Amino acid sequence: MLRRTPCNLNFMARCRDRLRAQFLLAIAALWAGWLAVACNSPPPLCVTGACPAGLSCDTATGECRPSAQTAPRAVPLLGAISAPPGASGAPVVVGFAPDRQSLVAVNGQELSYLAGPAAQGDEQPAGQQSAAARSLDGRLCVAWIRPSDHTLWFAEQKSKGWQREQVATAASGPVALTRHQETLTIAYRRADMASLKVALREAPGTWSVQDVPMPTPPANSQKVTADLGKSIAIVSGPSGLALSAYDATYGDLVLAVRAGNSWSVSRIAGADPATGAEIGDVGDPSALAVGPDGGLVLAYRDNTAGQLVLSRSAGGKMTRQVVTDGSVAGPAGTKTQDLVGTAISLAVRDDGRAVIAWFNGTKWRVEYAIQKQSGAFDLSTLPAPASARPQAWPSLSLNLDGSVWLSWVALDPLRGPAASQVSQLKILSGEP
Amino acid sequence: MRPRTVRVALWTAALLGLAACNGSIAPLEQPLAPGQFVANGARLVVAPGDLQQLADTVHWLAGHQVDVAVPPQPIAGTLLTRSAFVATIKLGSAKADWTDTGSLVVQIGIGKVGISVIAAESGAPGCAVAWKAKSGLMKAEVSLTKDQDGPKAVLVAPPSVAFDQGGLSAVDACAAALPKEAWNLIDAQVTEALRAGLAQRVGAAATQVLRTALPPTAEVSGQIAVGGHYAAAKTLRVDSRFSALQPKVVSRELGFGEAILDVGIAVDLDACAVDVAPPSAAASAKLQPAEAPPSKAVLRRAIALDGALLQRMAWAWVRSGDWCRESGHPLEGLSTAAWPAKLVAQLAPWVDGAPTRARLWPHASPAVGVTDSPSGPLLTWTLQDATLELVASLGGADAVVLAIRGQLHGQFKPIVTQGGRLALAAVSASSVAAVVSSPLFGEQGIAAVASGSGLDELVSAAVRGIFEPAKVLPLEAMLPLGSVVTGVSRGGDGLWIWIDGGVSPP
Repeated sequence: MLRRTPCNLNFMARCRDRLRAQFLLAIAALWAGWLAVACNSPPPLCVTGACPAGLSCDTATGECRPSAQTAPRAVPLLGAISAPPGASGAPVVVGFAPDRQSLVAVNGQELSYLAGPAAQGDEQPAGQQSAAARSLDGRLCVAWIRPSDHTLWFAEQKSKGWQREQVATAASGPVALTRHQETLTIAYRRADMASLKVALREAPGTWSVQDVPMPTPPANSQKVTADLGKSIAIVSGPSGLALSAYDATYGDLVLAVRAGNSWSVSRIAGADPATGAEIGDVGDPSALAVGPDGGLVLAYRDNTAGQLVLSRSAGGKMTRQVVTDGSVAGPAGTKTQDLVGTAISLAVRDDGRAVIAWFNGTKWRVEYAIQKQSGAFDLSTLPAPASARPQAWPSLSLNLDGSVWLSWVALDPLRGPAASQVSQLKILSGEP
Repeated sequence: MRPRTVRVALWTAALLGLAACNGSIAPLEQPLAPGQFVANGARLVVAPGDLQQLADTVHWLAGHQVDVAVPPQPIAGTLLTRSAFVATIKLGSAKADWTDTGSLVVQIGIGKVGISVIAAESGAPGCAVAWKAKSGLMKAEVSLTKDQDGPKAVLVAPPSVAFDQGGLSAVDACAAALPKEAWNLIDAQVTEALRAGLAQRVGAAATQVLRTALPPTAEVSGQIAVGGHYAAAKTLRVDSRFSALQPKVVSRELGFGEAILDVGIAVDLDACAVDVAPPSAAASAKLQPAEAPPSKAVLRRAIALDGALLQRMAWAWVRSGDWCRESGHPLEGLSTAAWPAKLVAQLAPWVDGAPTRARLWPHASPAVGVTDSPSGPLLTWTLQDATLELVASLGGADAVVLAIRGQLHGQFKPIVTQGGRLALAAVSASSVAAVVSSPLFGEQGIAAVASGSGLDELVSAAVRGIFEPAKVLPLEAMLPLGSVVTGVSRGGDGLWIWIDGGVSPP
């Protein structure tokens, strides 16, 4: 036995020296390799600096392009997903598993069922609409709707499993979740779909529910808003909570801001603020973020113009910048418009540059844009693998290390909804 | 612009309402190229069956009676003066006819008239004379003409009046002693005074009616804002002019009165539309008659749009981008169960529910025509190549779940709304040799869906949704106050829009 082993006891000291030498050689080789790569790397033209993992620098354009797609995880998810940011690395993804009709959190290969039959055997399907965020201490928190009894639920991840709490009744989706200072806050629709509420977690198991004031009708209009919140987003900023919602009655984007205990609600797009004249169907869906200056950053779809719009609050006004209008070359020299931005995710980096990901509903591709220092956007489409599986429901995660991850769902038309899978890609690296 | 010119500018706007106008006429910076015109493309028409309605309108405008107040007047050749008198002339039935020269002759019957006047020398007692007529007939001939001031409707000649059994008789015995010249002059004075009074009222009414029915106006130009659903507003440039110096009745054999307009149309190309030349077909030189609505009307005339003009209007409508459309309302009658069975199995497991929206992308300029149906004329159209997209929600995100590309046929029905406005409503559509595709169909993304398997119902519902609500044409702004659209007829390959009521200001 000992004779057959190179590193037997008699030769232990020499063996240790050999191992140390091999280790040093390996380190030297890696160092040399790194130097070789560094010395031969393209000039620093790329707008994001050295390209992050998963991207390579296109020397022709000087821009980072996705070079590879991470392998899909064998977790079927269907529908909108949430991927709350973590410290670093691929974020946890929360979504609805169609094969189990349950809400699931996916962390690498680890699955945690939070709601539905997979979580509690006698529970009705739940979690088709959910939202996730991190608590102050970094715990994963999830809110969801159980449609069978119109209840709103919340779960916080503990060291051993999840702590579930019923938050409210007469609730309907969608839901949005954020942490405002120390308080986790859920925005949701009332079951009648005509108004919005927010639930604030005062303490574990204790929630207070508030009505979000209704927007007043546009000037010269009498019709009462009867369908509010088909899509909603919520974010916490230095000046308070901000909630964006789509008013389907008027086709307007409504912004509700809660500072202290008072709300201010206004229509910020879709209606002329002076005359009240309807100027488009705007705001379904929307996404919210806060810039480094504390200003609101808002992405939304202008359905009338077919545009994906980025808006920032500046000096009491909202700027408007078209990220894409989906224009593509059509037959016979015409141009058509892809249906862009019917699902949107937004992140704003510490330097103020926005990253937007959206669903192209014509091509069934997830596309994203990274804002340059100039303010212009660099549009990208996720690489299409040979199988060209349709993609949907993007979710961006801005980790604490500054890296930005994009998660999405890849569909499998041949095998059906239960074969859908979540995929993730780091599209921007963290700050050095 | 003068009011009349404005009116015809608006007429033209109305004609181009089919091209989705939603703005008002403004001066045209540059005239349209000659090739942009459709000569004789639009006519304002009065059908022979409606001539009586013109006459009735003249009667209505002139009133049921005409009061004539005549001041005293010396009787020439004598020392006598005929006294002042007041007469009430009752107007009877009226009728109108076109003449061979294209003017409108209106005749109005006059009821019994009885007047008493006094002939007297200054300071002396007078002798009363009675002027009586059992009946009369007034004839006024009006025509559309043009002079150095421009086109206008004028009386061809002073209206004539003929009285039946009119004449003078002595009321006082002394009247018999009046000289014969005095009798004749009194008769002439009274007759002329009555004719002048009638002419003023009836002639003005007849002129006004002709001006309303077939307005003679100068050339007019303008531009109208149009906009596709996805595009910024475009400018539809419009020019119209009378093809002759003076509009006149040209269809004498048919008895139609018509004023002919050349209409020019040009529009900025929207990026979503194909850049092809406008249709080159010339309008028919002869009016193609249409059947008038059976109901009576106050003052009925029609806008007759030639088939060539309809073609040009459809070209402009699509070219402006207004057919690159998305349904603005949830589609009706489009449950997934109503889809072709072959598609249900592949799409239903994915979508949240029935398609919510449809989008149309024309890749060709349409060919249009007019056909009859039991419910009235239909405007048919064919796009040789178009893509129809059906949008449904998946997990809350809208996506194109079905694309149908191929030849697309459709029908619009011109409908008269409750308020007397004209609208175009999509009634049906179908596809021919279409490729049906979806990312949810698997690797090829294409499904073979046979015609008649429910696909046309799907296409129809989508196209109806895309053109819902019915496009209301902005006619009311250009029509005389109080006039309304009452019907639509087919005239050959053209369309007649019938309008009732209203009278232009004098």
